[in-house]
Amino acid sequence: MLRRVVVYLEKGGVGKTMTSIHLADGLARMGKKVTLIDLDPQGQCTVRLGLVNKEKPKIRLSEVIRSGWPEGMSNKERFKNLVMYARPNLFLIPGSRDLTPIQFQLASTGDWEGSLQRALGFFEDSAMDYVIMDTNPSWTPLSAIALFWGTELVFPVETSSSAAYSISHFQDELVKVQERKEGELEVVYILPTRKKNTRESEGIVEDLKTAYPDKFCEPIRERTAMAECGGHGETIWEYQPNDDSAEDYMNFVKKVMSREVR
Amino acid sequence: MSAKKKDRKKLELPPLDAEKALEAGADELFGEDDENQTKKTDPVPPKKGKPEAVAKPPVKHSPPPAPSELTVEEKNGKSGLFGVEETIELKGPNNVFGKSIVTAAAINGDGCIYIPRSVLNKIQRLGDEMQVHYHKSARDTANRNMVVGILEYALEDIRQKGESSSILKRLSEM
Ligand SMILES: Nc1ncnc2c1ncn2[C@@H]1O[C@H](COP(=O)(O)OP(=O)(O)O)[C@@H](O)[C@H]1O
Ligand SMILES: [Mg+2]
Repeated sequence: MLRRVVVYLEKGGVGKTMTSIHLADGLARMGKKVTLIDLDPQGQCTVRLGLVNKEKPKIRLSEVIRSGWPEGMSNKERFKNLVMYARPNLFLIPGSRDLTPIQFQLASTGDWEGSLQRALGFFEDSAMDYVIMDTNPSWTPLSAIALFWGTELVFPVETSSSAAYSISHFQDELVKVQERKEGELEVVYILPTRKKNTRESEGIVEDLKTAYPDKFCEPIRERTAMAECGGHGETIWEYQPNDDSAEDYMNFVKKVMSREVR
Repeated sequence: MSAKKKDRKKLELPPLDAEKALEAGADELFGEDDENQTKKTDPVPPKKGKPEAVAKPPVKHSPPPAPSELTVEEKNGKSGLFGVEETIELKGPNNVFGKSIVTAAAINGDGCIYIPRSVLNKIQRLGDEMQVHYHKSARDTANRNMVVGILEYALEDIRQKGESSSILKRLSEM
């Protein structure tokens, strides 16, 4: 069964894209079939996976959302036209700036709930195991359509800034999303990101663990290799596989996998 | 950076024949023959969402023109933002561009962002996909993110306001 995971937080720089890429590639490395959907018009997933110079898909997600699929196109043709190959088992629907204008269409029709289901529902008829959706850092129609289609939500909570801010901001976000989804979100993962060796950072992690024992995931450490790998178009497993942050992300991947129903 | 890391051989990823890999992946996922699979998924009827349940998008505007009609490139008759003489100033909420720019750009009190020419020069071309030439260091990653973010902002402003965009005016004056 296709699992649909959204990585979301209404704030930039918290590690959404980092987490999306590593969750997607980590699952792919574990043998799962994965499509990473970059719903941020900045298209950072393409850059950080080193695919900037690769041939882009013929059909863009924005076109499909706007006008639907061409009549009579088979599911396989749809897939081949929409995604690009990123890594073994990993495919990417790249984000690009043509996603920006469709937000206006989505906003004016108010038709958000079924939007991605119509565009990508055919994935459910394939052997795809996961879609991972990276979102832009604000509550826009683009993040909304992801949250409506997604059934699992990853909240990356940045632990290197002020504790009070991070936690209260995150709590507001959780409530907002749950209201908007009307309780439909089945699974929520709270993933502390960019954890430093400071008392403050450790304090945030402890607070999160106490407040959300069932949703809490072990934190991702802040590491230089992590900050650098994307600039090289590589994941941490390619760039510095022995870095401890590589292990952190793999533990998160395994946690997500442990929810699989057999 | 350790010597070992510097000398590390780059892996060629993804494999050169991405097209074959995609083909094989599609076969594996959708079966070798998918003639009968079309439209197996029942389309969900378009539903009116709950516009009041979600915040309005941040900006008000008339419907945007098709993306191909308006880019800095076409309007300006130049390739991207090349040839900028001075630093240019774009107004925008800081948080649009993420945290990285805070370290990479000088931001004044009223939220103006000054982009040094050296940063703008790293934009190789502003084409179909925004493509940015950059050096491989964390510092430049931040610069690149900033440039992409600012261009996104500029393009959106131009899309929304068309000819009356102040950013467009500034660009055409350059
Ligand atoms: N664990 C980490 N260690 C070091 N740097 C990190 C880590 N996670 C993210 N970063 C850096 O922080 C910045 C923001 O991360 P990003 O994934 O782009 O966040 P978002 O998508 O939420 O805006 C990037 O420059 C990234 O390289
Ligand atoms: Mg991001």
